[in-house]
Amino acid sequence: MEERFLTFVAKLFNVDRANVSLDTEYMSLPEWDSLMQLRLVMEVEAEFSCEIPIDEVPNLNTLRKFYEYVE
Amino acid sequence: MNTVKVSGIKIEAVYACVPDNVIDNTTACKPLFGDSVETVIKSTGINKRYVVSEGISSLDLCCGAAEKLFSQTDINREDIGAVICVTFTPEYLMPCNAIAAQDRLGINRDVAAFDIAIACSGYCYGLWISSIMAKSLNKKILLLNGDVQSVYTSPEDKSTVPVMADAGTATVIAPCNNDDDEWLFTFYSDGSRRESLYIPAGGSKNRISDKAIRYNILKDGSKIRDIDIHMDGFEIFKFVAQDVSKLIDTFLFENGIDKDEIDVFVPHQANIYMIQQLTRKLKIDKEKMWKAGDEYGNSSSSSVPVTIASQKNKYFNSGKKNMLLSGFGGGLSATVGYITFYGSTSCGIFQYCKKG
Repeated sequence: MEERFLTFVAKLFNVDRANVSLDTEYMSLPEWDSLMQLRLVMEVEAEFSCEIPIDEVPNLNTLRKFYEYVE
Repeated sequence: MNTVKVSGIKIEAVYACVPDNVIDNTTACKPLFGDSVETVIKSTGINKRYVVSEGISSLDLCCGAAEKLFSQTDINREDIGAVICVTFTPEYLMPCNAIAAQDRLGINRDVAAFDIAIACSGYCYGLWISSIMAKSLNKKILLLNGDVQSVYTSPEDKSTVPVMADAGTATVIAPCNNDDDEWLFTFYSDGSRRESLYIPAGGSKNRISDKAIRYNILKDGSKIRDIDIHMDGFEIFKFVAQDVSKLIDTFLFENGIDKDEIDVFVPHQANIYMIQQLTRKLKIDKEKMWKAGDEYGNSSSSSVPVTIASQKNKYFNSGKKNMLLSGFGGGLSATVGYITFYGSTSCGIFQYCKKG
């Protein structure tokens, strides 16, 4: 599941899979902006059939915190 | 939390006027976003936007909406006791839109007329002040609410271009003898975060200068001038996700409003995906959330009356509904209103026509 999640996110951000881990602070990736943040929530929820509460999203500063909703 | 209550008032009509130019967002945003344009549109949920041609002002759109309102209803101009205009993009910095509207609409001179200068949260401010004044004057209040944000939007700014739109609206609030219908409002202000959404130049602090009209290049490649709207999208998202969702929840809890009692939820149409997430967080049935931003864009505070004007006839034409309203944005500022809305209220939306 972890590998599938990271591959999915790397593709979304258009970066090499090797550059993405659960500890990645994705907001520092060049492709990140506020619209990408919304897209990340939207796409992860759709792909992994999970729900991420909107008030928690601003606190998800690493992919690990996102992944906790996917597991 | 302070909650204000007003009773003995009702909304008689809501009309909206959108500009002459309709923009297909996919086409318009392609030069900015390239191949990512489809996903950007998906992230905002805004497919179309209406923007003014050069020379068309917020006053033109609001007066257009008011003229349509008078022509479609039996509301008489002579019965208007005050004109209020909620706008942060007035036709002139001085005098205000509302006084010009008095003359342009042929309303009596013995009226109060003033603007309320606030952005996205403004419609509830307008309803609150109008309801107090309707009772105080025992006359009807013409509430205009409109902005032309496109005038202050850099065409090369990735944060604002996909969402910002223009519109003008007119609402008539009338005194009535029915005290059963109580309107509730609450307001939230946090000036410490004002630079999350603002226009740096053109006010009295930073005058228009050569520097103010020079384009600066941002980290994401956007080009923006100091006279343009600057929006930190993530800060605004945080505000909505955390402060606004808590504000609405607390408002409902403290006023003993069960979510099942809410018939309609009309949030500011900031971003369709975001307001859908907000609705889910609030545990309000998604079918109750009205949206028009997908078709008309984010027209600042007028997005709430634009949504009511465009959606109401699709949903009900008789009886009355409990309507939850919320505006949020520049300030930072947020408002929540809980009002009674009648099916008999006249509503409509149309496109601006210079000669019409």
